[in-house]
Formats: sequence, C-alpha cells, structure tokens
Amino acid sequence: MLDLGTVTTLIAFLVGIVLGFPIGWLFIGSTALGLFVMGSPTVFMANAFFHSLDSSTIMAIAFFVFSGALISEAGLADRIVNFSYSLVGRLRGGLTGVGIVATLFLSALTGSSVPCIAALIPLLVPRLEKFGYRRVYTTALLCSSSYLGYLIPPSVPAMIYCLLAGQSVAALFLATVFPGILLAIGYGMLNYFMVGRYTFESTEKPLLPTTFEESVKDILHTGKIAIPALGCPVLILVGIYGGIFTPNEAGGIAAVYCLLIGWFVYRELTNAKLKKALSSTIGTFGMTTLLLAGGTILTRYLTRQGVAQEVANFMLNMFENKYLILLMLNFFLLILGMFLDGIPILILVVPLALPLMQELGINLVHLGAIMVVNVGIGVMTPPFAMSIFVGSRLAEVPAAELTKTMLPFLFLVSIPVLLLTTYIPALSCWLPEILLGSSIVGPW
Amino acid sequence: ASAKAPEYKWRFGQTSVRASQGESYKLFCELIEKYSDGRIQVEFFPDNQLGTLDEIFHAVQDGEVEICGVAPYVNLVPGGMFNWMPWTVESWEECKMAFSRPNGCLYVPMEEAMNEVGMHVLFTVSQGSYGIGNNTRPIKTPEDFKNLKLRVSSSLGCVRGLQNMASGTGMTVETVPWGELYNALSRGVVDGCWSMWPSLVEERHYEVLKYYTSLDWMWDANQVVINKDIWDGLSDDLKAAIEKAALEAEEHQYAIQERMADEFQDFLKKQANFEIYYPTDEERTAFREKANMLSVWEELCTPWLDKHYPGQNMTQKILDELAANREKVLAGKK
Amino acid sequence: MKKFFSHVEKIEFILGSIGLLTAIVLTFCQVVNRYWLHFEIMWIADFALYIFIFTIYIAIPYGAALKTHIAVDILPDHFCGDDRAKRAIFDIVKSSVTILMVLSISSPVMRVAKRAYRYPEYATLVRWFNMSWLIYAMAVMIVLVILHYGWHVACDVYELKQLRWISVNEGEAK
Ligand code: NA
Ligand code: NA
Repeated sequence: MLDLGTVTTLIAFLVGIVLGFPIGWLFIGSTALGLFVMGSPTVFMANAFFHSLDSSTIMAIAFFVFSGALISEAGLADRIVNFSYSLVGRLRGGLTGVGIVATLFLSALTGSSVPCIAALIPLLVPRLEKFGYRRVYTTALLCSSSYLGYLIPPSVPAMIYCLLAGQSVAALFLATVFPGILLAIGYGMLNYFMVGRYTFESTEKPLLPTTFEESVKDILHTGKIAIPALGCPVLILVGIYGGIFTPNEAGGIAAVYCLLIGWFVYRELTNAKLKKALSSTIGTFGMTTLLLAGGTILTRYLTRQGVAQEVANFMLNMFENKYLILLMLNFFLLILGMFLDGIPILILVVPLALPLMQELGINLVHLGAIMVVNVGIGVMTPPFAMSIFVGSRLAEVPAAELTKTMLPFLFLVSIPVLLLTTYIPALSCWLPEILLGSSIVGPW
Repeated sequence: ASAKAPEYKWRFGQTSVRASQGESYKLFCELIEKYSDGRIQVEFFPDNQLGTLDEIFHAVQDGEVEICGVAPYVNLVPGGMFNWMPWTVESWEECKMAFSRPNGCLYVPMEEAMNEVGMHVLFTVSQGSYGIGNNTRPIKTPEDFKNLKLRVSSSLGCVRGLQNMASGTGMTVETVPWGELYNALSRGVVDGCWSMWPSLVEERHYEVLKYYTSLDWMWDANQVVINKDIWDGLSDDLKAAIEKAALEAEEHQYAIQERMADEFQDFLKKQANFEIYYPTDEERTAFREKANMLSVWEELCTPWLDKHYPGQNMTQKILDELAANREKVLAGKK
Repeated sequence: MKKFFSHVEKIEFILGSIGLLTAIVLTFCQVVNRYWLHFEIMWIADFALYIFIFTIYIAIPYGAALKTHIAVDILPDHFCGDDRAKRAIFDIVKSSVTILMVLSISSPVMRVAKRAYRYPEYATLVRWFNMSWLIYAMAVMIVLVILHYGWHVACDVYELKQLRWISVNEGEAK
C-alpha cells in the first residue's frame, strides 16, 4: 500500500518525536530521508518551504501573536482581570470563575492560547492563594480555559485552517463562538461543584462589595477603566464584520491598537517591556513559521505519494457511516494532539482529510469548527500540552499534579463540547450564516 | 501504447482548480502518451495538488515537474505583460488568431517571454472575456465609474487601462486578494470589481454583485508550458507528437470554454438580483478609446519588446495586427 | 566566539523587530489610507508582505538561537533526569541531528537560489523589487540556523568538559 520511502519517512518522524527532536526540522529531515531512500529529487522541498510562507495570512498570524504578547506587557490584562473580578467575584466559586471570565475577554484580544495563561497566572494564582484557593486548582482552571483563545475570534488555528481549506476566515471565526461560550459555561458549572475541594482556611478575606448597589458601582468603575482594553476586540469585530478591513488586516490594527493603549492610555508599556514582547513574538513566530513550512513539505510529499487518497479509501471502506468517520477523525486528532502542537496537526491533517470530508458532504466551515475545537483540546492533553508546560512553569506547580487536576475539565466538559460541535452542525454554522449569509457558509 | 516501460515519465501540474480546464489537460496527457506510442507517460495532478501557482511554476523551472498550465503573471514572466493588456482581443475568434502557433501576434512574443524564463509554450487556454461588475449602478458609459471603489489585482496593465477608462470620475482602486474578494464585496469593502463568466458563477460573484457590464475589455489567456531544457532535448518525432496532442487539447479546451460561457450566461440571466448589460459597439468604442492603451503599452510593454526585438517597433506591429484581426472578425460577422 | 554569537543574536533581534513593526505600520497605513487619505498606494500590501518574509527568515534563526522550538521532551527527561552530563550529551546528539536535518534541505535551497539568480523575478507593483532576494534570504537563514545549532553543540561540549573536570578533581580530593 505505502512505498518504502513513505514508510521510512513516517517511521523516522515518529522516532524523532519520541526522541524529542525539534518538530519543525523533523518534518523536513524525515521527508528528506524518505526521498533519499527512494533516490527521488528533493528540490521541491525548498519550493514548498518558500511558498508556504509567502502569504499574507502568515503575516496576520504574526501580528496577532504580537498583540497577544502585548496584552500583559501593555497593562490590558490587569484591567480586564479587575473588571471580571467585579463581575463574578461575589458568586459561589466566583473568585476562580474570574479566571474563566477573564480568559473569555482576553481570548477576544489574542488568537492563541499561551498569552492567556501567561497573562493570567501571575495576576490570579498568587492573589487567590492568599484567599485560600490552592495554586494547582486555579492554574488547572486557567490552563483548561486557555484554548478559548482559539475559539473566540481572532483565532490563529482558524486562520490556518482557512488558508489550507480555502474557507472564509470571517465565517470560521464566528463558527467557534458558540462552542467557546458553551465551554466557558461548562467550566463555570464544573467549577461551581469542584472548587470546594480545593480550598483551605485562610485568614485573609477578599474585599468584595456586599450590597447590590456597591456591586454595580464597582462594575461601572472597573468597567470604565477596562474600556480601552475591551475596545480592542470590539474594534476587531466591528472592523471585520462591518466591512472596514479584512481579517488579515485586523491583525495589524490590533497590534497598533495595543501599542497605543499601552503607551498613551495605561502608560505601562516601557521600552524594556516592548523589547520583551518583541523578543517573545519573534521567537514564537520563528518557531510557528518553521512548523508551517516543515509541515507543508511533509504533507506535500505525502500528497504526491497518494497517501491522502489511500487514507480516504481506507476510511470509506472501513466505516461507510459519516458519523462514525467523524468520530474516527476526532479520535485520530485527539491522539495526534497528545504529541503535536495544533498548527502542525492542521497542516498535516487538513489536506489529507479534505477530499474524504468533501466526499461525505460535510460542510467545510463545520469541519473547521470541529478541527479548531479539537486542536484546542490538544493544548491540555498530555504528554505534549502547551498549557501544562507553560502553566506548571509559571505557577510553580508540578506538571503531574496539574495534569491530574485538569482531567475533570477535559473529560466532563471539553470532550462533550467537542462531540456537540461534531454532531450538531447548527452550533457552528448558524451564527456565520445569520451574520454573513448562507452562501459563504454553504449547505449544512 | 506499447507494453514497454516509458522513456519519459513526466508530471503535469494544474495551477488552478477549474475542472473545465482540467478536462483538457487530462486529455492532453493521454494524447501525448497515445501519439508518442507510450514513450512518454504524463501523470496529471489537478487542483494545485503539487503546490500553489508560483510553486508549480518554479518546479517546472527547476525541471522537477515537467509541464504545467500557468497564468503568466509578470512577477513570474517579466516579459508577459502584454498578456494582461486590456482591449487586445475582444472575441474568441480574435483570441484564437492572436495566440495561434507559430505566427500569432501575441504567441510570438509570449514564446520569447517564456523562453526567457526557461519555458516553452505548448498551447494557450482561455476562459473568455472580462467585464465589470458593481453594486451601485449599471455601467454603460465611462462616466458611470463615478466615485466607485473598485477592487483590482496587481496586474498593472489592467489597472492602468481601468484607471484611464475612469479618469476624471473619482473612481478609486483597491487591491484585495482574490480569495478575499467575495467577502470584501459582500461586506462592502469595495463596490465592485472586474470579473468573468466562470468567476461570476463558480466563485459566486453574482451573489454579491448587482450589475455586470459584459464589456469584453480584457480577454483571459493562460499557457500550458514545458521546461525548455527538456523540450530542447527531445527528438523531433516526440516534439511532433506533443505538438499534435497540444493542438487537439487546445481545440477541445476552446470548445468547452465557449460552450460554458453560454451556459453561464443563461444561468446568470435567470438570477433575480443580477443584471447583465451588453453594451453596443459604439458604447464599447467609447471605453476602448478612453482607455488610451497605446500609452499603457509604451509604459509597460515597449521597454521589454524593444530590448528583445530591437529596432522593429514591435509595440506598433502587435497593435496593428490586433486591429487587423478585429476588423477581419467584424467583417466576417457582417 | 561567545561575543560573536551574542552579536548575531542581537542583530537578528533588531532586524526582526524592525521588520515586524514596519509590516504592522504598513498594514495599518493601508487601512487608514483607504478611508481617509486616498493616496494611490496599491503597492503597500505587497511591500509589507516582502518585508515580512525577510522578517520570517530572521525569526527562524532567532528562534533557533533562543531554542524556542517545539519538541516532546518526555523521553529525554525520563532518561536524563537531573544529570547535567547526560543532558549535555543528549543535547549534543539532538543539535547534531538537527544540523543534519537542516543540511538535508540546504542543497535544494541552494539549487532554488541558483535558479532565482538565473531567472530574477520582479514584483508586479513594487517593480524595482527583485523577488529573488527573498529566496537568497531563505539561503541565509539556513546558514544562520546551522551556525546557531553548531554553537549550541560547542557550548554543550564545553559544559561536558567542565563537568568531567569537576568530577575528576572531586575524585582526587576524596
Ligand atoms: Na481568540
Ligand atoms: Na496535547
């Protein structure tokens, strides 16, 4: 079925992953090895590398990474946390619920998951520990919520999916909104029941308004301060859906907006902080672009070897049923998500799965929503879990304990939301259809 | 075909996702195998399977893919500017004349331009004419461009021609990538754009455009090319076999595209919120004259043509021949 | 040597920052111009993208210098634990294999760079801009990445030597 070259490539790739080699170069090296074994020319690798990066979507992705890096450096995250605090702090489990609400807000500022964790852990974890909430629980909540950054627009994985599948970015941005909100509500409910197990007696009590009037006053006050920070998502959304600029241009606008707020409104963006944000942005998108280019090379190779067609035929012969195939796709993506980052997964899987999905008549915006939710879950599934890596380091809690605490969030909320997204197309297709028209979304 | 293993195993990369082009490309691959008696085998890769347009083009330059069908954008083919000049060809007959081999007045410089980037032209495919669509008013005279914001591509020849036609009307232009055009039109980022029958239907531009003027102000032309070193290394009988296949595939493609243009128009005429305007010959002349194409040729094409055909005043020669073609076709109609 | 690499890293950071910020400003200007100024600057989006592509080819080696690459470290962590010598040996292997993997694409890149030299391509709207420069930038990236990983290997070898020296001397002290 597969030729020697393809098999060599796949084995080399798996071995390389297990040995912990950098995945971006591993894509390239394992492809080269397969070509070498077969004595095939390798020159297409350089062309695929170059042309996969020659795209304004990649530029927009870097801009969103930069604005994500700015949200903590420019003081936007603080204001949003304070606002969230006054919104839900008084409810039962509310202090930890602040984490979910703040993540929801920050998600509308960044297209990724890591900036949410990086901004919120230093702000919330020590503060809540003083009030008797265990570090590991607050961190687990934040890490589990972090992929809301993928689901609430803007979203880097959504842009990559659209780049690969030729779908409307504006539509897919909207398609994951309801799954995102569902996820936040589910986490909120789970938190309500779980939080009691992770508290201890503490002498310090939070200063919270006691009456309804005080509470409203507090919300208005913190809300006013948070307006410039909250203005960014509003600007992005109005800009994109009001026809003022394209989703790609929105990245540039968001970055400029965050810079201006940091400099002139909150006045917290010093040169040192800007440098820090720039350095992390350049490092991150250097890594991301390498993953993109390397992943394109490997998929190009697999497509040329006819692997996509083989996989499609195999799946069709094996299952026949559309719902079973979708279930298999989700299962396969979840397994991949345990070992790979979301971006390379999309680059590998979308071109290979697209022909099969089209044959099954699955709406490609709906498929995009499934994939984005799925690779989002990947940030919390061990052993390779971005949110656990970053979260355990920033909060100084052991990764194993953090992982264990995150499991209820994974199994009781995330997976059910994924299944709902998979089997109820309306969850993802209805909103873009209402706002953008049925022709952009297509039949579902 | 013989049972022997082929001497040459090639790949043909399609750089677009138009199924209507793919049919003829596939036929071309089969015919090459047939006429070469199985000595050449060409595997067809549709739908950008080998990569993006630029990527496949470069792969052919590298000799890593042998043949592709390509839109000769000037970033890839610096001499190909005249392929994107408005008002060169205004009908299928003129298109066939201009690109006929070996003496067509646009084929000759196009082959030269392709040679310069390491390619040899095998045949031409066309998706027909371009018109202009918008959401504000039907465009019947150049004055109707008034204050419109139109999407353009980075094909300078088309942009200049459009700007000349609309000069003094306050029309502005905006580059929007093709992939974002539908959205930009539906959101009102731009008021209109140039489009063509296949795009109106297959890219569903008709859903987001209200008025379309079938101006025929540009004529699409793409080329099927082969790596020149590979071509030069072929024996004469194989070259003849490929040329024979090319001729048949080209005819096949013209027939498909002409038929589809009619089908698309029939479909579009049935759409409730879409209005097609067919300008009269006089109205079209007004646009053509205002476009002042000679000046655009002199700016964009003449430098390259003078370098490659020194002292021959190629610009004028090509334009004269195009005009003669047009008259011939018009005379034939009457 | 150490100074040289810290300089390289600094230059990469500065160029990368300039590129990123320029691309952002150009994109911003394009939108502002569309609604306010109405200059005819069609080329701005293309130009921003070219600047950004250069930035990518700076960012990839910069990422290599900072070791921001994504990898699954479970097995290495399991075997090396806190043993610094084992860790250094593993890192040497990892960096060396990475160099090999980078080398595996270097000859295609050089071939493509040669083709870019033979057939220069000029941007459609920014007509003085030779797009082959972008391909040369990709070639420079390969060289820089190899240099950075080579330097990582050198640093790890040095550390290994130091560790050995310490353990040998400690042994004598006993
Ligand atoms: Na987001
Ligand atoms: Na994971």
